[in-house]
Amino acid sequence: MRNKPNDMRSEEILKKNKNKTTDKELKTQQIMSPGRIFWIRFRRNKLAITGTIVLLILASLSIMAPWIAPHDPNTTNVRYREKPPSAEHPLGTDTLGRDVLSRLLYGGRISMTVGVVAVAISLSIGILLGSLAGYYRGWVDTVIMRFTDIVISFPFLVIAITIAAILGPNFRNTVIIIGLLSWTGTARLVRGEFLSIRERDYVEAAHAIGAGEGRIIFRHILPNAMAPIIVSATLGMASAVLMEAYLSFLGLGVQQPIPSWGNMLVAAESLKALQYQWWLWVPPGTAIFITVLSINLVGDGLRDALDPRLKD
Amino acid sequence: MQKYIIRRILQAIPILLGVSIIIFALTQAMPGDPLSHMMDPNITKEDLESAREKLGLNDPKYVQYFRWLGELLSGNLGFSTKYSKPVGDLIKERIGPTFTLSLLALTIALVFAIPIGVYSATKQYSKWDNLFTVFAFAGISIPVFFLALVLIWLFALQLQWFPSGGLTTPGVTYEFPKNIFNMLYHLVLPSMTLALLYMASFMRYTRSSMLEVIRQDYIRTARAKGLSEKVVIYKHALRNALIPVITILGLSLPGMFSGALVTETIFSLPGMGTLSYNAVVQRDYPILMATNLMFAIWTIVGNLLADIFYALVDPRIRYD
Repeated sequence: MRNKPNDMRSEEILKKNKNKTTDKELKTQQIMSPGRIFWIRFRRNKLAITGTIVLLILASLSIMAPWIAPHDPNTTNVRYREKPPSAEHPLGTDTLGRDVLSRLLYGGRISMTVGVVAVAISLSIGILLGSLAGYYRGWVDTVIMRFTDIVISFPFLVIAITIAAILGPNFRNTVIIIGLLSWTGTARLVRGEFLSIRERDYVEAAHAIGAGEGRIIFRHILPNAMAPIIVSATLGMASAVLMEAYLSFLGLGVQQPIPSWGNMLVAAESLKALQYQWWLWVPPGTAIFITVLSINLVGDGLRDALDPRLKD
Repeated sequence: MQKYIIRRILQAIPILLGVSIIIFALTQAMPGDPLSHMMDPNITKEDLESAREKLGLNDPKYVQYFRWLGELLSGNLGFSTKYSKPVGDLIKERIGPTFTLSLLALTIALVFAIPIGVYSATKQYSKWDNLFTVFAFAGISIPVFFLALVLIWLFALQLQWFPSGGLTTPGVTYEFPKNIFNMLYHLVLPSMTLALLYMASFMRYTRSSMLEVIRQDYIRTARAKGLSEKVVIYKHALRNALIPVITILGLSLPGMFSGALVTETIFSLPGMGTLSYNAVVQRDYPILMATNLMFAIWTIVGNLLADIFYALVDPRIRYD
């Protein structure tokens, strides 16, 4: 959190001074932890707070799906197909007579799991390649960055459906494909941070006392590059949820009968469903939209709070 | 400058080669080889082996790669067994709709996004700026296909203003210039979908770039000279603020192609996106490889042009 605590302190002091600050208060402010400074900044952003709350609600609904879902998501009922919402089925039933609300809740588990795991994969690759390139520079940097340029040149969906066709579309491959294709932004970001942080005095000091390269990379440089990494991981999670939805909507991601928000929307490909059966496509579409929107709002709030340099 | 342009072009070559290697590796990873699809099942093992030998499928991988690359460079993109046509011909047929759709959407998006971005920057945190911010967040968060479905539901099914898909009215042939209008009429909803999507991000980029520029000293100088606010903003500030937007435009190309793929699929437009998608569904690998290659090449060339343009219009940056 280089030199951020300082300007934060004066900012806070100025604010507090308006309501008369005692010396004691000033002293406590001077030792504010980075976490506390972050929280003070973050909570000022109403949109980010709203996003956090909505996201927490959606996440807990998904986690609790087995207990709160009114029906089993996979039980079909041929005599009760495509029925509009009722007390028994609050969001109606789909073409196989399955309860849409239950599938929506279970679909959330799938979509969010894909998001979290895919981001974990892309972060690991991005951080590893980015720090190697930024720390060692020279030919290591050239090779890694050219490779990044190559991967970035492929439009995500086109290459993703190609790989899905080769590997076979399923839940595991969806996660792998998204993870393997979305690390490039993180790698470039981490490289940039490393290039600047490696020149700092404390890194030189670490060299001087004989710290090993692994220690310098992971204990001295990486923690100081964490702020932008956290922000990019959050925004990456938003796009991973979207990518899963795209792939599953195209039939090349998570496959039936496992419910995912993307594959539930396939129902709307028939104009009949689109026109007369809103409960088949509006709920999953809205769920994706609200989830991605909340994550983006949180990510934006994190950026403002963690890394004010990046602000507009 | 000339040196920079030449160096930049030379830099693109290893990237293009890397792209071709990845695509070749994917071809190799595909289940089965060209023969397993074409041959009749009664063929003997020896015949199959000699056929493989003749086609060079037993050669070392790198020999096969260079042979394939040579074919590519001489313009042979492969042959589609499903369409019984050279892939190159198929792509030629499909490029038109994709480019028309993308350009149309991009134009609409920029026409709205730039003025809105400028307005938002000059009136930062005003009521309208906040509204546009919310709109931008919504725009980057909504899945394209959901937006497309909502637009089809509203404008094609409820209001019945525009067709829900296709590029021409089926069963009717129009003379020039009526056929152009018919096509544009079919492209209204798809290009609106994509335009709303692009608009959200370009609006934000213009806004942040503009905010950066209006804090610069030369803008204060311009104001101090007594120039009107209009001249300061639109003549002095906007010119410089748009330069980084060019780079962003280049960088957004892959995302734009992904968006076009989904949009074309939903509106059943006969473009490159539907060509790739159908190729996946039908496991038509030669097409798939060619479309991946084309999209990647367009992205690389687009970025190259953006960089060169950037260098031409921004004299502050010295490239040597």
